[in-house]
Amino acid sequence: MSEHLLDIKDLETWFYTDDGIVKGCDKVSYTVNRGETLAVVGESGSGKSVAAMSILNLIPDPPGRIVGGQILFKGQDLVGLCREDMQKIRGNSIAMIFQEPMTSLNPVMTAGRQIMESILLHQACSKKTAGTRAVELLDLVGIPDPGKRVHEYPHQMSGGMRQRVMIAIALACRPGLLIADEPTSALDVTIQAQILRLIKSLQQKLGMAVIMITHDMGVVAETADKVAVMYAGRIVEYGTATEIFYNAKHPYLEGLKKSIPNIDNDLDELSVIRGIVPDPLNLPRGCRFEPRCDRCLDICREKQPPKVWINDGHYTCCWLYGDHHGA
Amino acid sequence: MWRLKTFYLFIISFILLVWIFPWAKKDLIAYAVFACLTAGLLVLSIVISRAANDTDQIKSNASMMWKRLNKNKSAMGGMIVLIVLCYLAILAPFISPHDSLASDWGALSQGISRAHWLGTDDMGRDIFSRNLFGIRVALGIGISAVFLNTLIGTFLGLLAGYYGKKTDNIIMRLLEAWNSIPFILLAIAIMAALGTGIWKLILIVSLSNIMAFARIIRGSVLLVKESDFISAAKVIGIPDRLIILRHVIPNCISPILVLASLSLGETILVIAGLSFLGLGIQPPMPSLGAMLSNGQQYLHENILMSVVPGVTILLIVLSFNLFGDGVRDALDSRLID
Repeated sequence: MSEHLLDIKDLETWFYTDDGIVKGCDKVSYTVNRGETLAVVGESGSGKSVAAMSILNLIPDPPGRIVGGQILFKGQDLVGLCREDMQKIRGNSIAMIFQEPMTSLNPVMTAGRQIMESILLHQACSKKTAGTRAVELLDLVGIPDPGKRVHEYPHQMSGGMRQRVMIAIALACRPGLLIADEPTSALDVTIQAQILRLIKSLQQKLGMAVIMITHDMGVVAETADKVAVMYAGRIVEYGTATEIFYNAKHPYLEGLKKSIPNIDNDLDELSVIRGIVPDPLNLPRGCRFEPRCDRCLDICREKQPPKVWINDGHYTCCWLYGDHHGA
Repeated sequence: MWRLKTFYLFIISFILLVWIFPWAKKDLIAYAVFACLTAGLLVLSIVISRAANDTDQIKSNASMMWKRLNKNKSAMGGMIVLIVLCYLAILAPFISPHDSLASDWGALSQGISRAHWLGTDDMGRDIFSRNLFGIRVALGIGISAVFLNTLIGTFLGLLAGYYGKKTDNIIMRLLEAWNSIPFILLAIAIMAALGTGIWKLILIVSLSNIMAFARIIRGSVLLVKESDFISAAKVIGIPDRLIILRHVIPNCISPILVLASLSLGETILVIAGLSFLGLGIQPPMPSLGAMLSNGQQYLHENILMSVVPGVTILLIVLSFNLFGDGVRDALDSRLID
């Protein structure tokens, strides 16, 4: 029990819209250990961000609500925690980095003050110490001339630098868990690599766990220890990064891997997964990937597939595996 | 640090002083006020020149703001006119060559002369003296009404915009109901029930305009509330009141300032209108609006009676608008080059 830093069990976050219930997260379970990186992969709308926002209880209510499951952080259930207790956890033991560094910083506050805000809020220290801490943090995230940069406004910085400031804010209280929601999507490729390397080195330095939410398989390959692949609100495959990359079972993952262009093969046409993501209001009765699956069986249309354990710590949700055919 | 504090101290004392003017009866008080203001301005100018000298250091927000304001020629023009008007208002008892209430029966409705610099009105009162006291009243009442108005309107708009849902509905529907009562009718009713008086006038004028403030602030709060940095602030665990105070208000400051400077002109005109109806400042106390409305009856005999207070109102309103616009641009850190 206690070895997991974060343990999500059967999390269900539903959105009550005018057209019906959207199950943003449907029985999602994953665990993160101390110092480990979990990558949550999936296409847009697959529920990867919803799961992460649920951890910090940031789902806009209405329409969203966590209807079931548990989120155990250091043994404490975060679901249904009162506002004050939640605010103590936010920023202090769990921090988050957003996708858009351009809009995630307050345009009318200096970078330094935004970092100090978090420090002053969670730690009992004077303004002066917080100020020096802010400069140290900017130095830590690799911003040149931090003593001058603390006094600058976000619009005076580049996208990469703003993302570094965001990371500095997130790290201000040395959180145990960092949730990075597509931290590199808005940046260009060279900056992406720098930011990923930065997160990785800081993770080793501070010993924190990271949940990396992304749709970029390259990012996964570079950072992840464990991978959870999500599709239409469910985890379809879960395992270590090596297992996912070299021993993937689920047809969705096979399709994904086929769609990655390879520089060595001279193909005329890229292979794609046919069809589109199902309408979240009108999901198929059986397996959610069934309408797009090349290898679907009769039972796929009827019943949702159970978890099939390939080996210890690696499972997939597909009828093709396991010995329950016809069951 | 002390630089910033003097700046704010100066602003606050300035507001307070302007507020007190209409009631500062004795010359001694006016003189003290004048001395304080001059000293404050001197200190400020010394501070700013000193701040401008050490360019190596990181500039404080106040000096940055001042620098940006300085570049804006029209705002500086507005500010200078405003300062001159304020000085005229404060020094009214000293400057005015005649008693503003006394009639010179030997010189009724006269033009410019050595005895009466801007002529006399139909009752033989010195227009120049009355105009000076009129500025006093207009600035005092106008600024305090706008201040109150801004405070209440912004507060309601913030609550409605930030909390949304039920709070929003209740506040906005109540304000709409309030706004549906015709303003003049309301003013007449309140004045009839409570009697006339400067405080009641301020209250009515400030309450009449809440809706505009609340609605515009609510709109910009709704916009700011959805930005990523507000969710980022929530992720850090900042409580709501601090989010409103540090993240929402500074991002909504420009519409507040623009609206305040615009409504100051409007308020002075509304006070003039109420005076016209006999509900505002009671005669014989000089007020620009009453002078203007009185003067229109004598346009042919003495055009100065309407031109002088008219131009004064124009100057006050224009200088406030220009200055307010400049302050907004200077405050907005996003516009730094």
